[in-house]
Amino acid sequence: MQIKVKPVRGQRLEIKLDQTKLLLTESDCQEMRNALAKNLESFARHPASTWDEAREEFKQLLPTLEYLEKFADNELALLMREFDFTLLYRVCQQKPLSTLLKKLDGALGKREIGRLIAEGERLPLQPLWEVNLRIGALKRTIDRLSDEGEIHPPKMSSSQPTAEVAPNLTRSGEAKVIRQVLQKLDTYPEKALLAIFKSLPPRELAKLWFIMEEFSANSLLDKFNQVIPPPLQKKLKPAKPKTMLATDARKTCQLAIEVIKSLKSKKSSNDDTPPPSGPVLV
Amino acid sequence: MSFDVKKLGEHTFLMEKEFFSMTMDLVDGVRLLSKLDEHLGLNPPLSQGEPNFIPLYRNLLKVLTYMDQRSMQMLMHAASRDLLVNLMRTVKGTKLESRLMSYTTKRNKQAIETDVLYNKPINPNDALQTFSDFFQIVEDHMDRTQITLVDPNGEYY
Repeated sequence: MQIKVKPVRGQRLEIKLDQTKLLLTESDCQEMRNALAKNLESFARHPASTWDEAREEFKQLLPTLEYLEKFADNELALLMREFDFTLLYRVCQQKPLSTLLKKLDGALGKREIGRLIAEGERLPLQPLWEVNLRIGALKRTIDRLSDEGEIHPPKMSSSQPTAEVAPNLTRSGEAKVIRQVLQKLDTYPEKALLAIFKSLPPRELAKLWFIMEEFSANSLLDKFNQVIPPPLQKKLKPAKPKTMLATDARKTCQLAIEVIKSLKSKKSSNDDTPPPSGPVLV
Repeated sequence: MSFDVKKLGEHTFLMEKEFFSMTMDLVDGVRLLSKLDEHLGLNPPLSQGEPNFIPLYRNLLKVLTYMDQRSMQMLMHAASRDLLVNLMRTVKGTKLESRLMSYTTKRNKQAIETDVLYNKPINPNDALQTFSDFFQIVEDHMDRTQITLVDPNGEYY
């Protein structure tokens, strides 16, 4: 930029900035000078409030990072294939989050860790808010992979202690609806139940299993044990939550209702084109 | 209405007053500042001290050293030998100088210290040009996201 400053008549300065010409009184110039100096001096600095906000947010996000310690090794490796952990690995090293580092070491192997470290060395330093964005992205990746059934991470412990949450499920506002759904399910014969269970995503089925136990729906559980053979139960078990929020439980029940509806409509459309090939609901 | 200067990003500044509004980078900002200081007579008399932009730029140089070693080495590597000689002349004999030297190679350090100009004081015009050239390199590296400036009050990973 071409910058020219020259004094003109009447205690004024003519300032030329490329094509722009400014004619300013000396006091205006002084004001501009001071405002400019203040900003130039703060080069590289950010307002304290920006840092405070980032630190507060990081505190809230840190559990998501520590949550990875509870992952099974193979699922953690799978997650790391989907998610670029370079920056967050550097956070783990600097904090340091020793338990998680050890966990990653075991799950990913020397070569992958070496790659993370090498990539980290190439990445310039990042301010805390970039770290926060990254943890947010990690959270979304975990959610997505869980929804797709790729991984079955343990339930993230909520801020409330487990003991407080668990008994509340049967006494929550949602309990009535949940009981109705369980009763409804119990009216179906085993063949139809198998179709329903099979149509549910495995993670949801595991949740439903937990809900049945929680509500002591014994007759339904008997049927569950009949139609879901032990090997399959063994596979479901890791996805079975230890505790569940009432709203979450309700969502699972609603999903079961959706499945019943869709199976019913499939059945009715099959009526026109015998022989029926789909599952039969009575 | 008063003059309003805001920071846009890390090294771009927006100046506003009434219908006037303009953005300029750090290097141009300091050049404008130095000219204003000169015409407004805000610099200390020559016999008593340096123009205001020199301590300002020295401070910014110090801010740069908060970065990691690799980033600093990258900057020093990108600057020409002549530029480094002049840069060292602006901070001659200070802690900052030895700090900056530590980011250059041994050979480079030797070459700088044996340069004919190294022991001569630098005049303000050359100093402004030197700082401008060096901080242009800094800005280019920032634009290419090869370096991140470090706020000493902040937290970086």
